[in-house]
Amino acid sequence: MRRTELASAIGFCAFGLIWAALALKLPYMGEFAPGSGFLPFWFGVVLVGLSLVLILRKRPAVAEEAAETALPAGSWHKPAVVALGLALCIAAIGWLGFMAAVALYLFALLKFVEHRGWVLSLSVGLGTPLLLGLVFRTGLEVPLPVGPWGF
Amino acid sequence: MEVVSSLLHGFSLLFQPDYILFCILGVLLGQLIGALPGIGPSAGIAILLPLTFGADPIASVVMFAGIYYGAQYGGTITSVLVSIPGESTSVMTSIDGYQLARRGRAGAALGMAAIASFVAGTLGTAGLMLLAPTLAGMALAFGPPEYFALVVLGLLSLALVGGDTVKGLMAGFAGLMLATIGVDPQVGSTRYIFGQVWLLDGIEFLVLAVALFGIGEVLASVERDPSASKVEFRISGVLPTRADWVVSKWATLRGTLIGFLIGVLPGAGATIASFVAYTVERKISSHPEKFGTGVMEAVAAPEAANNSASSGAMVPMLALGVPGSNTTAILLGALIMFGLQPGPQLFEGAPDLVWTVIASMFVGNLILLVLNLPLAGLFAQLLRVPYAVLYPIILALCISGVFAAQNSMDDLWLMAGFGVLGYFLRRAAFPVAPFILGLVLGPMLENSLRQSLTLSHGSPWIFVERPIAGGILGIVLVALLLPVITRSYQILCGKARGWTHAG
Repeated sequence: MRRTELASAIGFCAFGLIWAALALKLPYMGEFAPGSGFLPFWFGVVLVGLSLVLILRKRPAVAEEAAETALPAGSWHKPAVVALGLALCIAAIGWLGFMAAVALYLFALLKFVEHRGWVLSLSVGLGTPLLLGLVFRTGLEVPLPVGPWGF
Repeated sequence: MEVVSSLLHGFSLLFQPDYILFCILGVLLGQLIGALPGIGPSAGIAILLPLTFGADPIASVVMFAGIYYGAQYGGTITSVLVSIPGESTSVMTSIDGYQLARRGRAGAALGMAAIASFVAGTLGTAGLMLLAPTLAGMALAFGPPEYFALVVLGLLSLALVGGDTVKGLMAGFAGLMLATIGVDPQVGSTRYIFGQVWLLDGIEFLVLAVALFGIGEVLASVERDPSASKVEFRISGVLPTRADWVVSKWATLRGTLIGFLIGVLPGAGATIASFVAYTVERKISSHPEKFGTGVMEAVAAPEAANNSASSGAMVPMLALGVPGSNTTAILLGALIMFGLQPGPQLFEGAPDLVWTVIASMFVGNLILLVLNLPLAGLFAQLLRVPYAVLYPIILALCISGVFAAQNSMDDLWLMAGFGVLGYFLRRAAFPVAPFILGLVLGPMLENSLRQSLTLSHGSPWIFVERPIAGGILGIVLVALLLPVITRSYQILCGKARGWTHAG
């Protein structure tokens, strides 16, 4: 079994155990029908059982599957950078507003992660939040967070 | 005969410049609303409702109906092109639709979705016109036990979505568990909120869908070798071929029937209709192992189902005054706002409105097809944009869409967290659709189970004694056991043949 699959199965198992354990603190049965804790408990138990089935089952090595999912060493760096950037963008939205935070994020992705030119990076970086602001704020009257500069 | 003459009268009223314009406007708005994550047809209609104060009620309702079924197709566009289901009704379409897009057949997938939507919308509207009073009466026979059985049938798809049954079930049960976060709808107590007020409403479907399908897919895609993920694009393949239609026509008709019948049931909605249609199609397919890799019938069936369900949802609204879905609940409010009384007397009290709206649904579905078949190729052109430029735009769309749903920064953090989870799930080859299915179906499953057992004073036999519920659960049992029985029989026959040869 591949490491990521095993780690995921262990993660699901832990999730199921925690959920079932917390469900025991809720009422199990009502007067006639299950209480608040009934289904969450059994969902957790089933998830633990399925996780154990996955961990313990033997599967023959499949060459195509291995080839498709095998990734070059260090390949997780780029998704990590994109995810970290997303987190920073979300943190910045409350401070800079939607337009500025998203524009900075997109520009940084295009210029420094994807190594695109200045013109493309600036035009997509600025144009996308502008267009989205037009659609959501003006067209659909859905408020998006505003920064200290009023946009 | 009376129905035909009433319909013709409806067409004669519809073909006035104002009404046709509102029909086209509704369809176009609906597509845009459906394509944008964060704004659904119910929110779109609610936003536009104040603008129609004092307007012609017929024109307004024609526009709102156009938004409703237009949104079903709009959600398909983003599902197929960038694997972000704009609506919960498009989740099943994204499974195979996106795989088709990755193989350079985005136009064909969108085109088939448009054709299936047109066929289903037209047949569904015909069903609404002819069968509304009868079906409305039958819908009243559905109570909590029947809804429970229907949800269990929908959950069957957990085991079928994606290639690995165990992983599909694991993801599905995780989704069911996430659905228990928030306030217990039966008793009002809180569960799994960990002291966080913003979790009182639970986890919004849109947050999980955008995170797992959108963010997760982006993170997984940027990890892949860009040259390996380049999409082969052939101009000649932008529309479905005759072969595509041959394999999809029965799937379209089955999806239409399933979607319409489920759409008629108040509260069931187009989402569960699309799940059930996908499940049925996969079960009866001669190549079920190919589902999830990009098969056309896996796009046609759920698309047909969600469109005919939107017609079906109009049945209880018009005939009984009971909304069949969230969107028809808003539509019901609109009718009351215009001084109309939905219910059995609506057909007699406001025939002009009813038959003009029904006529507009025929015309609107045709407009959707005429607009989108040529546009399918244009939408597919989006995939010519290098992915390195496309994915930042997708991320921006995800951020704005999720925030727009509930104006919540906490939802954005949830989206980021689940997005990373979606990435790891993809790395471990877990299907993500069952997560969403579990989240959407969980509340209905729990409510219907507890209400049923309350009705029966704790006796589980209620699910067997009521014929409709028992029949549906019987189908589920057969569907689950048949592969096991078949496989056991094959093994026994193989052993018997072995013994015979040895003897």
